[in-house]
Amino acid sequence: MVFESPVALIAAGVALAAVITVVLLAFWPGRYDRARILNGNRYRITRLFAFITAAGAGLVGVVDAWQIAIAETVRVPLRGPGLSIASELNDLSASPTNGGAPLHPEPATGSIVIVGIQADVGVAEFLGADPAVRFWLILQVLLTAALIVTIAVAVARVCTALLSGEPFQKPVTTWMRVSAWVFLGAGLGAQAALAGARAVVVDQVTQRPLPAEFQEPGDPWGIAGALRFVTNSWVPEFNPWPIGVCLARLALSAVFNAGTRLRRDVDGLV
Amino acid sequence: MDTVLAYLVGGAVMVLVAIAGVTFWRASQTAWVEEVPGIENTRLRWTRNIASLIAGIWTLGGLFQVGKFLWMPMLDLVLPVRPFWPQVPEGVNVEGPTAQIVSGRIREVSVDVEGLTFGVRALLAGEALLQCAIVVVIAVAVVRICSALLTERTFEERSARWIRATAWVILGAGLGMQVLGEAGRVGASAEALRMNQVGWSGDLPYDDPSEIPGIFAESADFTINYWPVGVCLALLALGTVFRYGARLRNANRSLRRDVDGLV
Repeated sequence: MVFESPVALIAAGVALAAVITVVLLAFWPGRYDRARILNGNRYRITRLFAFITAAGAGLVGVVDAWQIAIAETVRVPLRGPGLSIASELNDLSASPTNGGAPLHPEPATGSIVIVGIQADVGVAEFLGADPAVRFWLILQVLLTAALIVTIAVAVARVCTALLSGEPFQKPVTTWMRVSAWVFLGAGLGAQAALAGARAVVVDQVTQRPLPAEFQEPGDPWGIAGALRFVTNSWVPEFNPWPIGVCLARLALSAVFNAGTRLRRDVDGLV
Repeated sequence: MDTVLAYLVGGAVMVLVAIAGVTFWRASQTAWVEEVPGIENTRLRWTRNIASLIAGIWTLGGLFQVGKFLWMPMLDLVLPVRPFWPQVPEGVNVEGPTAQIVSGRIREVSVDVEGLTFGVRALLAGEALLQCAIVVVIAVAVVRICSALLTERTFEERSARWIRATAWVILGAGLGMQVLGEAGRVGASAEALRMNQVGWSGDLPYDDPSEIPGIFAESADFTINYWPVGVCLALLALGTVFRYGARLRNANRSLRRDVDGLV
């Protein structure tokens, strides 16, 4: 959530404080340690949060996918070493002054020196994007939604099991295991899909030959820099966090398994 | 990057994920039998070792990051800027693209900056410290759970306590990290990019400073995500599961003693 005005920021802060107050009142460790550990309200709250998250993520995923499929333009986040700015700044400062005003921008804080700067992250809106771009973007949106929905449903299932008085149930264990694999597949798949969309769109947009007079970097008008932003903006990224989360969730699945075995043992003894 | 190559890379990743899934799916299912099977033991050991490694690396990395933010003269940061998109001036013809960029926004820039005030540095160091705390606490929780599973002491009270502690650390540090980090970046953006005045020669085709490539305007964008609240709640529920398991284990022991006594 991005806040661009102080009022929005304060309102968000108040909302956040309210949520945290509810959480603290319902879940404070002091209360938690009392005998009634299966007090229902806290799990009803958690389950409600989980259901809202799952429903919201699913809805947003479907709407986003539909928009990407039918909209005239598509938005693609781009990232990479792009518009190198430092050279343009130097070129400007070397040009004649205009009415005595300094050409080089003067920072308001005197001691600050920007040594290097480059535009790093951009979101571009494209017209006439290839169906392949739309396919990759839809895949990314749906996989991300699947990831959030699966994990939220897993939390909801645990809460439902707690509310029923018996957390160690086979369906919960199965769902934990399923969610671990969905997390792995969707987490890595979403990254691959976004990389695919970026690659295709950059390939489509950036096959533009620079005019001869602007092929040297550092041209005084910065045109080459402006063009370069899109020419270099596909950088493959790989984040391995889904693998770690998958392993951790499989360990949790094993915990639920152990609990189920314990329950069967106790029932057998009784 | 060639389109075909992109398809190949994407396809290869998906095939690898599918192979991993097919290979390990059965392994994760076999945990249903009475004893923890060897392959699951191996997976749990790997998980524990990877988590230990992550905890160690992040502890050292976090301390290094804090030191860097506090004492290094030059910092590489990603700062928010007022959204812009470089425009190609009129008169420049480009040919080739099959898609057309209608609009775009660059909201962040990477900078190497010197001379930031100590206040800003402290905020950024605080963010790094809290981020490190979150990762380490989670990694230690995973280590404890895996160790407990491997030693067949799954429902130890200390595991439940650590999970509860992890939940509260994530709530506090997750929100605190975002507040400190965003405040630090907004402060750094103001210190590094706020301009007193900008001038340029008459032959340059710009009407406004914001059109000039290289002139970035500061931004006060403040982003907060609420995920720590959800993660905290989920972990507290998990903590209860562990406590319930501990009670079940105690009941099991007590019943066994009774049965042994009867026999």
